[in-house]
Amino acid sequence: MILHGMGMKVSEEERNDVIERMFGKRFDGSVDFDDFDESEMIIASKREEAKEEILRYMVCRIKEEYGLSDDGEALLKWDEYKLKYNLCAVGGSNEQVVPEDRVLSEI
Amino acid sequence: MNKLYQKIEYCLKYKNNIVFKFNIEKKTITMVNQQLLPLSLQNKPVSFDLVQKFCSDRILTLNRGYCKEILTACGIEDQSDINICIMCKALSFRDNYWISRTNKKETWEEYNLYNNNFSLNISHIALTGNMQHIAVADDKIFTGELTGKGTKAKCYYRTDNKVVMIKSETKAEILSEVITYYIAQALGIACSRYEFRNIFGKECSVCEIMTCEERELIPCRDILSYFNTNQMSYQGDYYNFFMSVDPINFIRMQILDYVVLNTDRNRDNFGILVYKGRMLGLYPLFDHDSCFKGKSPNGNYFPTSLTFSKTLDLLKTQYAQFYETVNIARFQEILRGDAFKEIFLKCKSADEYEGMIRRAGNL
Repeated sequence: MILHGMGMKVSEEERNDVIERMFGKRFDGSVDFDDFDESEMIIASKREEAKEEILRYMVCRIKEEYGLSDDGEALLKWDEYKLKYNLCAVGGSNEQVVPEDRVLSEI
Repeated sequence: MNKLYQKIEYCLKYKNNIVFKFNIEKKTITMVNQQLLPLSLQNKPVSFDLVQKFCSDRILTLNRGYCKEILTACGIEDQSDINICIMCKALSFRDNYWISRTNKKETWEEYNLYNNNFSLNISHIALTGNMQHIAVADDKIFTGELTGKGTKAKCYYRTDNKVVMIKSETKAEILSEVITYYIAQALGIACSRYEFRNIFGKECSVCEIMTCEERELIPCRDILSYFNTNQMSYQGDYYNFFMSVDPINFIRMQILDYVVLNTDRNRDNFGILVYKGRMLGLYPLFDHDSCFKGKSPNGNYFPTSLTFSKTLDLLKTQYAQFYETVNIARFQEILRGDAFKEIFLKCKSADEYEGMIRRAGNL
């Protein structure tokens, strides 16, 4: 085995230090379940959450489209973007701009 | 894209350092810095085969969900492994290797996926297959979708300055990913944390990718290549290699896989963590959608080519000195505890819990 030639071998401690920086904690068997209950991971298919994702996605697309760097500027361009791609006929709030059912099925 | 690209000289780079130059038309390769060769290409004669191998090992497989749509969206007509790699510069979320034109001033800083925007359009297609409103890409393709393994539809997405991997899976598979993180935590082994999200109308698992410029992944596939084999076996050099590099965590991985009956610990689903160019040990575990699928402990476990049960016997006997350092008693205590049971039952059934506890009792 040529571990030294391949960049090995390091100590368990050294590896754990890197892992701790990756995850922000040690994996030593002392489990903390709090994040499980606080997280939304089990309550799936939450429509609000989906809408938020879609909003973020649309902002990203608009930023790309117009070469913008700011989320707020992208939102101001939303109507223009809608018209350009004929995304929706209704105006008003962002929620109405892209009807959710259409977004979920088409985006 | 026409065949002119075959006349151009390209180079494989590690960040900004040229590893070798190659010409596709002439099928030539010129080694520049052998020390920087990817592990999978070491131990082999220097020939154009290295280029072919690098590209073949790197690109997506044709059985991946929406593979055709991804290639179409990228405007890739010549779907040879080498061309696909050249078109996307072989950029990945795995390591810092990439392909560049030799006579062009292209820098790692300008192109790497970690610090530059990648195409959300292509990500979107990779996850949904929906080609609507998509313009065919020009010759600049910034995406990691062409250089990932696996069969499920998935994509990379940047959110809050983090890159996450979104994978379309069944609810049962996602919950396997979710709960296995907690089981791994109880065992004391690092593992990616998955969440269950609804994205673009699909039920998906989401996890943050753990690679970055400093941290790279060498998949087991590459370790096998280094030893010039593609067979995983407990008698193989690759197994000894992992046991030499990080025996305790390698044993923990196998214990975990036995307890959750992970039927898909294939050569792309584990590997070595490289930090600032140094191999540190087993890469944090990932991809646990194939756990709790109702398989038997007498089923085949890929890394050893033994059954799950015989793998456990192997660890207890042949690797007893390392096995005994794992705090099995603490692990069993956590799994049997009320807090864990409550969490488990949010994801899986009571029968699955009992089965897992039985297997944990065999440790």
